[in-house]
Amino acid sequence: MNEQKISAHQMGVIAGILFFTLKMSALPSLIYKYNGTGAILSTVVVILLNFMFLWLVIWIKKKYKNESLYDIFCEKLGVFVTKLLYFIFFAFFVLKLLLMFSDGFTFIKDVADEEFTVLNLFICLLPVISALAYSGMRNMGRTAEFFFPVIVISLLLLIVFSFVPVSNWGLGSLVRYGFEGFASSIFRLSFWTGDLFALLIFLDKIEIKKGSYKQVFVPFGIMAGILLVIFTIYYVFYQETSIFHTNVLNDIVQYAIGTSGGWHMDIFAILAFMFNLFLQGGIIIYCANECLKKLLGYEYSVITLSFINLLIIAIEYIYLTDYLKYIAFAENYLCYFSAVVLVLVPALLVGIMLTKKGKKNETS
Amino acid sequence: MPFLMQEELKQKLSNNPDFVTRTISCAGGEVCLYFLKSMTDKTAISKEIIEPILREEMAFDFEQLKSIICCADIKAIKRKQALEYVLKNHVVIEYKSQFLVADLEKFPARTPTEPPTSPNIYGPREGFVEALATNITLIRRRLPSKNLVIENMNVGRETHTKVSILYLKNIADKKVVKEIRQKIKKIDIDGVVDSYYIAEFLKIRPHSMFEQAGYQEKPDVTVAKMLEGRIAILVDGSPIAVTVPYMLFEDLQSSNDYYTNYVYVNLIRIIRTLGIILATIVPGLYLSIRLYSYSALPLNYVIIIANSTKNLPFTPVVEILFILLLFQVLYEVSLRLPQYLGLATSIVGALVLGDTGVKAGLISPPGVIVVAVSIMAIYTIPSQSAQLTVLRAVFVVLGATVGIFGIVGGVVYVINYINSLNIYGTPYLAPFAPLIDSDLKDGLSKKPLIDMLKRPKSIANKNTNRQGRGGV
Repeated sequence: MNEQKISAHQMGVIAGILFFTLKMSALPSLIYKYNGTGAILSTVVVILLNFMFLWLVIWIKKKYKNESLYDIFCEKLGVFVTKLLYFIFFAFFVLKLLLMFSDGFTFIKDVADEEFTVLNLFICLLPVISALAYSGMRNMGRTAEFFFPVIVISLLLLIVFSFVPVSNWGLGSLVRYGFEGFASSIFRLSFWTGDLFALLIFLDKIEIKKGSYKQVFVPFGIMAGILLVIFTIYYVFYQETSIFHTNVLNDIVQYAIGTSGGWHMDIFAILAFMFNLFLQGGIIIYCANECLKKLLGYEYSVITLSFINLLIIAIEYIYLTDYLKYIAFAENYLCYFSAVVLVLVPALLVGIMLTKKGKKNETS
Repeated sequence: MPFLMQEELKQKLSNNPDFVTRTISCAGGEVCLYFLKSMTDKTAISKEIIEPILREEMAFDFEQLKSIICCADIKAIKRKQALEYVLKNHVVIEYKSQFLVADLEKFPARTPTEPPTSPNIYGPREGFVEALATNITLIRRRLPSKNLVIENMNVGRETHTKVSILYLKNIADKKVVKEIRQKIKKIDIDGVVDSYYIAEFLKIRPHSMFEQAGYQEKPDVTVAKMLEGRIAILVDGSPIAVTVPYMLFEDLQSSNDYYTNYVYVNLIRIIRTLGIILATIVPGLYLSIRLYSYSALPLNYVIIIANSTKNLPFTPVVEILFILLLFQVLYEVSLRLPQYLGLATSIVGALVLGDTGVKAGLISPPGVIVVAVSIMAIYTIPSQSAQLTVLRAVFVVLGATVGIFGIVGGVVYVINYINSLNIYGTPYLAPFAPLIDSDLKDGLSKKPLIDMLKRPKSIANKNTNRQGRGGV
């Protein structure tokens, strides 16, 4: 394998981690608000859409073997437009990081340590995710691959222990809120944070060979399946009150503890979420750093990473305490921002590819 | 007749008493022998060199002298090489201003015995010794192959230590062999007294605390590694063979695994993996739960811990650090004392200090249990005990300051760092990161030998086929 590239399996693992982590906080409640228990159906549809997106990324990768997104855009749209787009991408990844920090902070405070402070979060999370980003995509791919079984086993154990107390599996109608609710829930679920967009930023670092589809789809499918089961358990547990929760993983755990004789199986959820948080943080800060480097024309990651660190600390210190503000921001603004980025970039790439094909036909 | 080298060698060797020059008058004139009596076989010199020369009644020339001497390993050398060969423990023979050398090296050496740190229940019990020639014999006996290559070189300005690179030319990757040969040739140091010196120079990242070469005490294990495409380096004076490339999961494997039922081996390897977790993380995790995350434990356990720790004079951090320090001191003492005293010290330390400490209310039983489990668990993988001890200290600090989140962050950081290590093309965490499916047959779990048709892909090699289907 090339020194700096990640394998198809590692790409699948990264896609799974990106897809899973930020959906474990307030999102299930939110989509319940729009579509009731039909949120399960919405989740299935969104998982299928993400599979399609993954297929699209592989297809694009096959067309642009060694070119980066930046190179492709520079060639076709010019440097100015590309830099403008990269500025938007940078802002997008910084916002994702902020949401991730808030999610992480709230989760740890609720579940693991009541006295956990913002300073603790910065001391621990920022250096580790910055080190992950600095070490490069190949290392991160391997690290994600190493922890993937740990995360999956932890979540499966959580699911097993959560199943035990379930006595009523009645979910009610899956299409209670009509098409509008269904569409709104799909929109929120798809574009909550625009997870898989990150794959396009390190498109040139992915190595795709024959038979790669299976290697990508299997780990992603496992994480998507776990997500669907956790959502289902959550809706079964909390039924109509599902709308009020801000931290789904935590609340499933609490329910399980409450009805399993005091056995604290939340350690599995805590570990799985924390591993996910670090790995996703590493990938997102890597993408933010890549965007900033391209934007400024720097090659040296230390300066750009330091800048991102300072930016995150500054913003988080002001806003971190108000988690609900973040949720509202993600619901009302980040969703649309993600939608634009997640639809615009692949559309541009496909468009460029089609014009490329047309030109080829003309010359031939 | 004056001999060319007699005075020169005496001077160059500072008139050392173990340097001998012996002049023999015979029918052909005078022959002079130069050798170090401490490093050569005097009986063989008498029988194979002196006796045949004295027995010869006719005059003979230099060429005829070669056939008169009964020694198996004899060759002509140039005058300027005489000192070098004397120092290599050869007998140098000067006759009519020309030189011969006979290899009659002999010095006190151990016979191969079972190494203390790699005992076997089944399987071979021979271990390497300090004599390079014996070690090569032990390997050659198990590998009577035309493809076995042994390259010799001398390293060390003062010690001129013999270093041998061994590999199978039809399996080992040429690039790796070349790289290792060049690295050893480049070593410019006054002395090499053990194979660890060579291993230090073979490190890809010299300042990393993680081992970057395998250390083998047994010829059967070394041969098995060579059959997988690795290169073995033997150093005269050291009973340890260095093998490269190296990956972390080699340490989860033991030679016993290959002479025992594979189902049992699967269980044992899981226990060894748990051993790593217990050894490094448990004291830190215990602290983080006691200090920050009591709710992660069931209520009964919380009550037990609270009862056992309620009257302690120290904070949990000080208590754990104190017990760790106590155990580490005991460990160091037991290593350095003679065996019978070491045993007594261990009893005093473990029983008297531990038990009395608990009864006196200075330390708590859960603290002692956690630290003792962690210390014992380190020896499920003795070759990485130094690294695990350091990591344990780091995780204790992280657990005490940031809690579980700090420990998870530390684990992610360490694994990511380890992932950056590529030892001669072999990823350090292979076959798990990157995932190499075919190599998982001998990873955390082990398949029966008949299923291992291919050599590990993680290690660069020329020939991937290990066995045909004939054995199935």
